[in-house]
Amino acid sequence: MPVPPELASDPAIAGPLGSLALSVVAPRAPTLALRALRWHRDLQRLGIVLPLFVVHDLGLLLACDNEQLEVGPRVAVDTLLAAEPAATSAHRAYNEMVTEIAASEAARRSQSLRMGDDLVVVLLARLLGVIAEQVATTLSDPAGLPLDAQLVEHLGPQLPALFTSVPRHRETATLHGLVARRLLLLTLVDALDLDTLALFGLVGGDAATGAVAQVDLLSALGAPEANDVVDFSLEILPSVLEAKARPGASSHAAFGYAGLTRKGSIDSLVLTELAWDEQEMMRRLADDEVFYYSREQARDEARRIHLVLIDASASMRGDRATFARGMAIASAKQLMLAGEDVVFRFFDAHLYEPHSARHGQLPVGHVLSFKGERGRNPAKVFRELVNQLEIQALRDGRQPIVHLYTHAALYIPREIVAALTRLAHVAAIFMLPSGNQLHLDYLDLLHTHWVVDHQALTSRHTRAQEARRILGDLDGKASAWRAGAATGDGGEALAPRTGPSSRPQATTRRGQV
Amino acid sequence: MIELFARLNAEGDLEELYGRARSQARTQPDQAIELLLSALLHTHGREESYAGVTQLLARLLVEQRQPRMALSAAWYAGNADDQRRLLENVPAIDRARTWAHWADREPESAVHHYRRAASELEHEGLLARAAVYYERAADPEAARTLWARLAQLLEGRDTDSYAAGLALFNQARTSHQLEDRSATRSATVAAVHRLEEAADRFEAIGQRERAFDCYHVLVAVGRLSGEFEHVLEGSVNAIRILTEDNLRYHALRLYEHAIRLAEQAGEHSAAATLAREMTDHARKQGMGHLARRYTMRQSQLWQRVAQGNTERGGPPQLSENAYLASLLAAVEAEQYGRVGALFRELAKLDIEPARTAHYARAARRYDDQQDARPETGGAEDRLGEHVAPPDVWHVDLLEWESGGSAAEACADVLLDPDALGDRITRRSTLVARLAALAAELAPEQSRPAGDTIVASYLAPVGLYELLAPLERLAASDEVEVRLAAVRALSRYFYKRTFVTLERALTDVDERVVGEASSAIERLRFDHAFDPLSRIYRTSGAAKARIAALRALARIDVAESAELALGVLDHGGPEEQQEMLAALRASRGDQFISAARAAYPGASQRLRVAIQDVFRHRGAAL
Repeated sequence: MPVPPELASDPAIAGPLGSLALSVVAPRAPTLALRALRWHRDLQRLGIVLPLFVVHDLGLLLACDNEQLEVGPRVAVDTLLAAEPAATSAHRAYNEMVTEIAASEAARRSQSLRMGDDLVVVLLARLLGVIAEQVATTLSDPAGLPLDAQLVEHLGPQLPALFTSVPRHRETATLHGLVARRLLLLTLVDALDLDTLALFGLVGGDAATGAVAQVDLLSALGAPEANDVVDFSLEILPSVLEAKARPGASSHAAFGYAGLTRKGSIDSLVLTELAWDEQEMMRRLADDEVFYYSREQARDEARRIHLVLIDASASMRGDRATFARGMAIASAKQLMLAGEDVVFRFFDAHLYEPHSARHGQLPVGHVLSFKGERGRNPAKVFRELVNQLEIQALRDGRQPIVHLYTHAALYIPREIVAALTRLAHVAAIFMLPSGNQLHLDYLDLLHTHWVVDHQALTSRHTRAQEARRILGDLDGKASAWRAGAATGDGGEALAPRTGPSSRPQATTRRGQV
Repeated sequence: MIELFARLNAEGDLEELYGRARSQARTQPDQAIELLLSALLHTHGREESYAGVTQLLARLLVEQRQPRMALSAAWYAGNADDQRRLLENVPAIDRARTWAHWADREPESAVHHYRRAASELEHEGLLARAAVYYERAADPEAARTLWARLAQLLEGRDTDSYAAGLALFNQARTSHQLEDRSATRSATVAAVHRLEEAADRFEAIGQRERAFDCYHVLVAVGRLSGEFEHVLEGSVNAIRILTEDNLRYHALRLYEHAIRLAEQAGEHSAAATLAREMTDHARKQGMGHLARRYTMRQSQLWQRVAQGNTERGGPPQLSENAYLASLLAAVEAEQYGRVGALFRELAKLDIEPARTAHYARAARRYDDQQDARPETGGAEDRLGEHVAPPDVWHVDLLEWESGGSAAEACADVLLDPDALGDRITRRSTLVARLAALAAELAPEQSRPAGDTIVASYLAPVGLYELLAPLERLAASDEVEVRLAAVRALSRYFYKRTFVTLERALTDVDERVVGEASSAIERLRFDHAFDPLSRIYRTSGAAKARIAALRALARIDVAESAELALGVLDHGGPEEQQEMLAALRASRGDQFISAARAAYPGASQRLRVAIQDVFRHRGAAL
């Protein structure tokens, strides 16, 4: 007996577990049911309150292979609901609805994504959020159901008793509500955007890092413009991912040896060093003249920090934001693969907090869902950025490289751009200027810039092509900076450029570097 | 003369006072003038008699060598010949105003009058007004020169970035009229710098209505320069301010307007996102009919995005996303027939075959489905058109140039062709103008007393245009003047009023603080939530905090209800009691619904308080 008698009468246990009698999806492994308990708990935290059986059934259909599941009533529901004929027929309709969902494209694709619990919760929230609002089940299950695998193992025989141990008005009301909204639920399932979740898989999104990221992702899933960002990112990412992580010499122990270095641990000491006499050996050690074998792959701390600065002002509304954020995600991934440190920052009239890419994961949810649009004050924002970079220069030896994604009417005072370019390399991408005109008086100060016009974005073939070209150019610049760093000169000189300003053209173009 | 205004009283009726004044006009002109000025206080009197009073007053004031006051009375009476006779004895500003007034009335000679007025003012150094009149005289070249001079004058002053932004925008506008592209461009860029800076500063100090003006100008900048980025920036932020100020109908009208602008500019994605936000806003405000209507509009706009993209040969994924967004909006509006049609469109896209097959399958589910009939009939359905604020790039610069002069501000109202229909306000303004002119003539030692009298005459007008003079008076060194100004401000129901009142709360004189607190309690309107809650949170004056709480309790908006619940739950004993007393007497529904929702999870203290309010208001929990 999975639920001991002393717990079987506790509404906090019998309530949710007993509702599984109405479930029409049976997992072949009890651990899967345990996952459902977690989804149920997390959804309640997000304010989506529905009986466990609904969360259980839909969650399993989206998260697990069909081979791991059996679709159909788990107990004799007709007997349990004998007193309520309407509920019995609602349950039958519910069973049919779940069968339809099991056969849907969304279920097929989501199963292949092998999502973690956090992503499943986000997906369920997207599907069930509207339903939960409309199906008036205001009372949540009492807290206290432990996430214990034993509670759900071989639960089937005990389900009727657990079901009848507490009143089930809420469950039957939910059944009626769901059936009445069958088309709504099925449409939501059919229109589900799984590409965002696929993007997480590709770039190492941060959904697993907690509730805040879950909320970000949920918000991104609900925003049509975020879908465009995702599609665009997915369109250009494969070319980014083709670029293998560059091997680099390092003192850390990983994979094979790459060369010789003056730093290292005793286990990678070049053996011939031991041939020196003791005194000379000590001197060489003290003067850092001893040779060590350097390791491949794990690299020393990057010497550059890439600041991906994305305009979040209202001027970016629509296609500008799509292209800017999609490009930002792809270029950040590319830089990370090259072993660079990347930090995202948004700005409108304020410069918002930095979000670092950590452990190979980009803050995708944040990038997709961030909403600024509180004014615009580039003079203040870039003055603040210059101040911060000046302070950072004192504490952090890394060379800052600013990647600016913005619109064509960002009027930064020229003297501020000049100050910025003295502190950092600045690469700017200007999105979709109205009337295809770009007249900014600071373009000649930038180290490099591109303009993406409407024609490039709306053309099916050129869009991704242009994006890849810009990414390629960026990669080229990054390589140049890396090469500069390797030779010890810190990359290209940071003096303001005096090249000709970019002239408007009909297609995407790149400014003079 | 100013002491005369201190003595005025409105005893007797208009006709009686007029009759007495006529009989005394020859023998005792001083007495007659006093009677006529008292008659002017009868702002609800018959126009025929009132006009007679002003004509006689004008004549007597001429005899008393008060040409400015006489001209003001003649402005009201509207007799051009009387006005003409007075022109050579009045200052340039009054002459120019009179000519501009004639220009409004005589379109055939408008250019001549405006040019004359502008030239007169230019010599007086009143650049903004002169430039405005040059513009009206269809002389953009002369106007541009003056705007450029003004912009240069303001450029170095950090505190005047808004005025500088406006001057630069005017320079850009006039350069545009002259087809001088380079000058238009540089003036536009400089204007945007200053306006962005000003908007940010206004928002930071809580003067959102001034930030709203900046965004409004930014929209105009965008329309002038053809840069839709500015139109979007201005529109979205202006909508945000209206929304935050609970001006829901204004916000929805501006949404509609912004969507239209976006469509005209071919920015269909931006239009669709605006429609989505408009739906959310309407729903949040409990405007169900409108929310449903906007949901359908949203669906149509997304469909247009998809169709436009497909026609241009854009990426099919963009069309797919747009169709899906359209479809989800249609589901929300229960338009299942439409959902089926959209699935069929999705099935035609050039995307993965598995997906098109899926969409084709899904479409079949809706074969027999009908669209729900849209509900109509709500009064809220008739929103009306968005009415853009006035040309603030002129109006606000004129206010700035007047430097808070009550006489000048009153003259603007008195001669405003749009205000001619509002007789009562015009009459109050005429009296205030006459008092202000008398105060200007008063000897130095009588100035404070004069200013006090002027403030009392400004009180009944209540127009936004007269806030600047009251703000100047509220900053006077004399306590009595500050007191009178703050008292007058309690009749000015604008968010901008709170800026001065908050300053008054820190006055060294207790009476001013008390008067400001009383004013705060009286100024309760929906969009006052923001300043009132700020006063409650930050004011050091206990009286003011309590006054703000009382006013907040009577504002029927969700934010106010939440704040009231917070005070009932966590406020000090005095604050809680005051809030309870105010809530018992209030009538709004927002508190009732917020309290009902909060009750199940409420603390014991809050429950008792909620029960108390519900009992007094006869509401059921």
